[in-house]
Amino acid sequence: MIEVSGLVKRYGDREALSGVTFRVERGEIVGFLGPNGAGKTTTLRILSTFLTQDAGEAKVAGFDVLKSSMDVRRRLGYLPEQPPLDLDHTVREYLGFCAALRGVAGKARRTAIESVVDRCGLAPVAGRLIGNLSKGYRQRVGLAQALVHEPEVVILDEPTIGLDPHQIREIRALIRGLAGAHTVLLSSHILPEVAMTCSRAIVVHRGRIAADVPIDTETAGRGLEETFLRATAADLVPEVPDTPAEPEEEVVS
Amino acid sequence: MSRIYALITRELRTQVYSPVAWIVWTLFLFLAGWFFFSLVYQFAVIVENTTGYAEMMQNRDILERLNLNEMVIAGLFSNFLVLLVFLIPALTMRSFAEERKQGTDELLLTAPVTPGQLVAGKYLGQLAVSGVLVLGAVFYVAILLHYGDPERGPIATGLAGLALVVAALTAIGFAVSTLTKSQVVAAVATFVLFLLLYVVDWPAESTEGVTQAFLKALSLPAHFEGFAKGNVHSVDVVYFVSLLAAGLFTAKTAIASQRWR
Repeated sequence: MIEVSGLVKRYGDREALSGVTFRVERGEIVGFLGPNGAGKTTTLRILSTFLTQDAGEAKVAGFDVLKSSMDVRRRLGYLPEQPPLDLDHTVREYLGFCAALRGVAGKARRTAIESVVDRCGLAPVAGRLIGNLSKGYRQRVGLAQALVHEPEVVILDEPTIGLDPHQIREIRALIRGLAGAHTVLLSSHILPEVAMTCSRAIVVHRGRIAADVPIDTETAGRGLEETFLRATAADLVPEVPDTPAEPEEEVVS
Repeated sequence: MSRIYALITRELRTQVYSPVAWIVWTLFLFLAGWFFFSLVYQFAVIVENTTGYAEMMQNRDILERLNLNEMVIAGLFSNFLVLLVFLIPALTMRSFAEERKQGTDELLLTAPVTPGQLVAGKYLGQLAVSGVLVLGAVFYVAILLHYGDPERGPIATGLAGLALVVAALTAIGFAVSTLTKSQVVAAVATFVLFLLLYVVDWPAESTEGVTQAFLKALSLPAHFEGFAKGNVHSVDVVYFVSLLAAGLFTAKTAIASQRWR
């Protein structure tokens, strides 16, 4: 569903991505893990067609992000790091606009809005101005925006940031519920986050993939933390090869 | 089409929910009212004085030379132009700069809409908001039509000219707003640009030849004058349509190129 190979992105002299390669299969929920500044947001922005890469290829739902960006956008739900909210609109107005912008028309739009309001727990605030909502609710509106048109692929950049533990638990359940019907790639720098919601973790460090590990009973919890720390401690892994398969074996074994 | 419609609706909502549009509309009505009052008042005083003079000279023909069109309406339209130069930057400053600041550009630019559709939707929404200023002008002209008997032709061309000016200046303001993240920068840059277009032909009188023609060709008031006096040339229409096209093209290019940074 998502295929990325050899992605390179430079901001001036600084290389943010130096050859990122990974795959996400249909129906998977994959965590994109890494310390701040590792290149998570840049990768997600390229996948969402907001930015373009300098080298390498990326395909979402079978479409190239450069050559067929409109086809990618039609199949994509995207929550950026900063939720893109119209603060002076009500939740319902905003979600209606997002649905219309993605081509959900007429009656289907009303159903889609009500269903996503329900799923994201927005019913009590649906008529309120987004600017007056708490950070937790805003984050949920951002999530609702990414889901309102039932996209095949959902990309979430730090979806639970700024939420209280109770809300985090709800959002995690919501994201887990997307498995199967949607393909989800979410970024996070919080380990338990990924361990609890995802079936696989891709660790990115200094613009490269440092590890790619399935999450099962063994890797969840302490195992994943070790993997993460080992993968992101650059001195311990001096030469990270470009292909993701090799470090995976190295780290897991 | 429905996507453009969605963009227009959102733009209108954003503008009408914010106080800026209301403040600008009110300021326009207030200042236009002041100009209107002073022009009409001056005219009334002149008519009164001239009437006395005409009676003294026993010659009513002198009064015929006092023309409501030339003395009030042409002046009024020129004043409206000045107001638009000052007020439209305040209406357009927000349009794309604020999207960038709030991060909503990331929503717009990852949605299945082309830069062309995005520009069309946002521009038409903007235009509806600044178009209200033309309605304000219609209001004062209607008062003149009700109490006086001015020629209809120059009024029609004047209003058409105002509509063209509003369309062109809104496009330029929108274009400037796509180039920055800051509303203040957008407003100041737009205003400077408008002011430059307004004063660009001031040195024209002391120059000659190509320089003079060039400066006059760029001038906003020079191209508006014909409209205000009911004497429209096609070159004036071309001027405003060119400004409009240049603005929209710049906006579209700026939005389309954002991906390729």
